[in-house]
Order: sequence, then C-alpha cells, then structure tokens
Amino acid sequence: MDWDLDDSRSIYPQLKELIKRGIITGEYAPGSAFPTVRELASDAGVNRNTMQRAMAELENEGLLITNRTAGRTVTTDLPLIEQMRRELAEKQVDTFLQEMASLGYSLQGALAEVAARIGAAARASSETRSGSTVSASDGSSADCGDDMCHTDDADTASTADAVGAAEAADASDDAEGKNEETKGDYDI
Amino acid sequence: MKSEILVQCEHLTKIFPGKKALDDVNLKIGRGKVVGLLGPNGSGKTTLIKILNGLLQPNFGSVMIDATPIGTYTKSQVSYLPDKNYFADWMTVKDIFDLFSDFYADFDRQKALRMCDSLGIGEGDRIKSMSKGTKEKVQLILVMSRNAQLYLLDEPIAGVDPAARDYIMGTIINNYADNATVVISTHLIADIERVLDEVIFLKDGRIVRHETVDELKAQEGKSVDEVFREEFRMGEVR
Repeated sequence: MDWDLDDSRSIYPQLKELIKRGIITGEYAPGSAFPTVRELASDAGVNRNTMQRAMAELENEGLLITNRTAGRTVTTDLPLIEQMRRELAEKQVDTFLQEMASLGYSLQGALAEVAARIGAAARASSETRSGSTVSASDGSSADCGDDMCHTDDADTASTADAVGAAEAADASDDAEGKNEETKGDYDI
Repeated sequence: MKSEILVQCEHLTKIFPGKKALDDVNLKIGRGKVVGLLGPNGSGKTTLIKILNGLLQPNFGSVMIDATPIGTYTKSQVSYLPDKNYFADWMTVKDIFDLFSDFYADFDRQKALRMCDSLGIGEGDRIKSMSKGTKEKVQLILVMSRNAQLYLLDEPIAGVDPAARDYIMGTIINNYADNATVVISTHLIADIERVLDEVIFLKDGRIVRHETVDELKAQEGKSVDEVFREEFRMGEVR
C-alpha cells in the first residue's frame, strides 16, 4: 500500500481513507486476514495509536471485523463495500464539479466536457478492438487521473479558462488511446 | 491499577551559572504515547531529559515517574539514549551487551542480537570499526531492547543520513512496549512528526505549547514542522 500522507492535516482520517480505498479496490480482499495495528503502523511509518484509531473507526463502520481468536478480517459484506465505493465516487464527483466551477464552468459546461471525453473513450475503445497499439494507453492513463482530479494547477486553469470549449474538445482528443481498463481507475 | 500519568513535573526549575535552563516547567505525560520534545538548541530539551533520568538535580520543583520520585526505581524504568556515544572504542558488541545485561534486568539480549544481526553486525565487532551511523544504530538498538516504561531519546536522528534516519525511526516505533511512552527530543521535526501523538514546544526553558498533534493540526491547519518554524522564527525577533 502506498501511504501518501499530507502532514498539514490530521493523519488518522487519511489512513482511514487509504485503507477504505484498499478494501474497495480489493487490495484487502473481502474476508481476508487484515494486518495488525503494529504491522500496518510500521508499514505506514506512523504511530500505533494513530493507526489504532483509524482501524477502530473502520470497525465501527463495519468494514473491518475483529474476531476474538482469528484477529481482524476484512468484511464480507459486499453491499457495504459497494456502498463505500459509491460514497467515494460521489466525493470524486463533488471534487470534480467544484474544480470545474472554479475554472468557470457551469454544471452543463462540465457535463459537456465529460460527454466529449466519453465520446473520445468510445472511439478509442473501438480502435483498440480493431487492433491498434495498446502502448499509447499506458502513458495516458496517468494523465487521465490528473485531468480528472488534480486541476489545482493554476497555469492550466487560466489557460483552459481562456480557450473555452473548442480547445477543451481538443484536449479530450489527447485522451484517445485510452481503453476501457482505465475507466474505473481514477486516482485521488 | 496504575495511574494514567507516567511523568509529572511541577514548577521544575534548573539554573546554570548565568542561565535559567528550565523555568517553572509544569508537565504531565501519559502512558502509551510518543511525544516530541521540540525546541531549538539551548531551549532546555537535554536538561529536562537529564533531570528525568536523574543525571541532573533541579533547583526547584518536583518530578515523579510512575508516581515515584527520581531514584533507583525510576532509573530501572527509564531507558535513555544520550545525545553522545558513550561506549569506549575498544569495546565489542558483546562487551556492551554484557554491560547492559549487568545493569538492566529488563534488557532483552536476544532481541538486541536479532536487531544487530539484521544489520549485519556481529557480537565480535568492535565499536572502533563502526561508522558514526552504525554506532548510533547500535546504541539505539540497546536502548530499545530494554523493556522499559519510559524511553528518553535525546536527538536520536541528528547527524545521520536520511536512510539511517528511516531505520532509526522504524526501530523506535516497532520496539516500544504497548503501554510505554517514548519521548523524542529533536529539532528535525519533519522527519518524525508522523510518529508523534503529542508535541511539547520548549522555548528558553519554558513550555510554550503542549498538545496532541491532531489538536495542533486542527487549530493551525499546518504540519508540526511549519508551526514550529513559525513559533521559533518569531522568537528570533527581539
């Protein structure tokens, strides 16, 4: 697990989010044994109390189960995991819409950008199916995460603002070559 | 049932000729915490640590560890890492292990051996042949191999490279007993802030802040390192 933590914020909610994400993505599979507080604290380079607190809250939310004899396991409650996935997805959408609003997009404008992207993705996937190279998609999958989430870059912001929708459509053309595999893969 | 408070200082004052090293320090530290004792050079960190382990006597005030005044019992419960290497050059790792076994009933020799082994250090190795970083690691291994209630680590990461720092921080957080408290003094805050529960800021012998890291972050919206830099930047303007 890659523990990417921001020291300016409280650590335990960040640990909680990262573990939750690990459960949703299957890194910690449903029903599997979960590491001890000590192991995970050591892995993340944080204090045991901090990790303990994050794990205790995940237990309260039902994502981790403590068994008296067998230690901790990941929940097997798949609908719960699905619900957590939805919650995280909703947060992502909120973040996206806020970022787009800060770039001067209306809700409709933002949706139009997404629609353009979907069109590009559909074209790309039909190309992939017709046998075009896959190598291009490797490089662009990282870009994709950035485009969708990290629009805090001020330079990009002002440029995008100035050029408007026409150029933005070009930008989404850059995303060609993305295949379907990258769709569910946007990083925070 | 043991008291929740492990360390308690009241009106602690230490005066060196021409300088008040500690000035009316009041302090309570609980069990099972990792505490950062933070301050610039000369702020009183080492003096406070030396009073806690009985190497210095305060001029005024009182100190209790595990509800007991400083003495033979508290010394048996405190594992101390000095800011200097104090082993003689001619000693081997085995000599030092023997010394620790003699002095401390809670010294876990097997654990120390395992840790040295994982670093490729053997019992026959001499202190003289070790690099500065390796000496510091060995010293830390000894201190963390005691099953103490209180670990007092004075500048454990000063003067070693970043890789050695990671090793040292890992060794600290992996090896203290569950109910033990670790006090780490340092001015290199960015390297340790993730492992801290609480911070104590010392400035000119006085405690200017003592709170949990979460409280500090909630209040300031900044890392401990940034808050520290601001606190002590203002301190420079007289």
